Amino acid sequence: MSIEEKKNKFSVLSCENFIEVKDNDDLLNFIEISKKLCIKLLGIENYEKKKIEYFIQDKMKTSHDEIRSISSLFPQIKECDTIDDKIRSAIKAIKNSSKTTFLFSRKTLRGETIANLKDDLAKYRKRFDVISVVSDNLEVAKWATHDRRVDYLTIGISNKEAVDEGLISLAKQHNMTLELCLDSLFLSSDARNLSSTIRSAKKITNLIVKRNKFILTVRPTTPYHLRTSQQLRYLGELIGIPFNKSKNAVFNEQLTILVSNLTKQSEKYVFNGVEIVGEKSD
Amino acid sequence: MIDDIRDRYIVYKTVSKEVLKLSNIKRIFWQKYQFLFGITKTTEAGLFFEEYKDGKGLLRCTQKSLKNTLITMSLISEINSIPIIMFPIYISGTIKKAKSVIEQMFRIV
Repeated sequence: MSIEEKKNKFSVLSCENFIEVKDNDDLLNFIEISKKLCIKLLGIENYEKKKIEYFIQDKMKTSHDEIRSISSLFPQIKECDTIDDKIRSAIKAIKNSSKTTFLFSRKTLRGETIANLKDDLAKYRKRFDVISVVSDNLEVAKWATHDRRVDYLTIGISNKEAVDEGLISLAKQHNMTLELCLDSLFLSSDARNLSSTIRSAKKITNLIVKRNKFILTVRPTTPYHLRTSQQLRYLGELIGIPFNKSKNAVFNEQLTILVSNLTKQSEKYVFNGVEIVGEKSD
Repeated sequence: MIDDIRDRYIVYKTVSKEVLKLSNIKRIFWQKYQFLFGITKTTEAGLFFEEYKDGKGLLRCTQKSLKNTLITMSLISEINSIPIIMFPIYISGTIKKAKSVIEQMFRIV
């Protein structure tokens, strides 16, 4: 068994979906630590697709560390027919490039009104790989669940007022993925704070776990808040998500959304499930 | 009938800016476990730090407390205001296998 194979034996694929960085140096710190934890996918907040490409080009000049953008997987997945095949080939490509970290851009829209959110979606959708919506206003959140341009509805686990049964039911109807941010578990200052965070998180997860698609993220403020997929699943246990129900919530769901967004870049893409397979004859 | 208490061995790794002593890691781990699950659960956990070298170590706990041990490990983010990540690499039911994994890891790195 080669050294690379031995290393892969102990590593499980992980993804951190929500990283807020101050500058490129900060991003490099995140990448360095994520390599140690075998976190393959990093979603960088407020970094446009072009900015990520420029960053990667700059980095490749000075260092041998392999960093790629998620759109580099497009040539491999475009030849596959079904979405399942595309995901399988993407996972294969990520597993084969063991030293590589894949970056993708994301934008979190904080819509105060529906009109604001509509404007922002039109403005940002094509500039970012992933679009997420976070809102304390339940009406705005409910509107966002049925918009096809929104990938995630972000929910802070300490804010139980931002979620109700109607919202969760709508999210289920429109197949919307919910993003649970576990950052308050790390930032709680004392026992009382942590206890109230866990209590409100359990109320939210009680509504979500049985029916909805969801993902887990730490939303790290420092690189040392990054966690592996296994650890995320155990943190999920603390807030009432059974270990066996969070299998897809740490890597597969994120990759599925990224792959389906990449597919939309194709010229042949018409609509979800509809693609041009041959040329029109007169 | 007496129940058998089965042990689990967690091979873990730490990532930090500075080299940390095992005594510091032990102290914070016990504190955090007690903070999260209380004194009674902590006594039942059977925690024992077997080995620690170059940021890799072996931690023993009971099978029933494995979940709580891993939750505690996930929530540790600093020791003496030094940021740290402590994450499990491999979980085994026998110490022999766990030690062989640590040896393999040392050979790789």
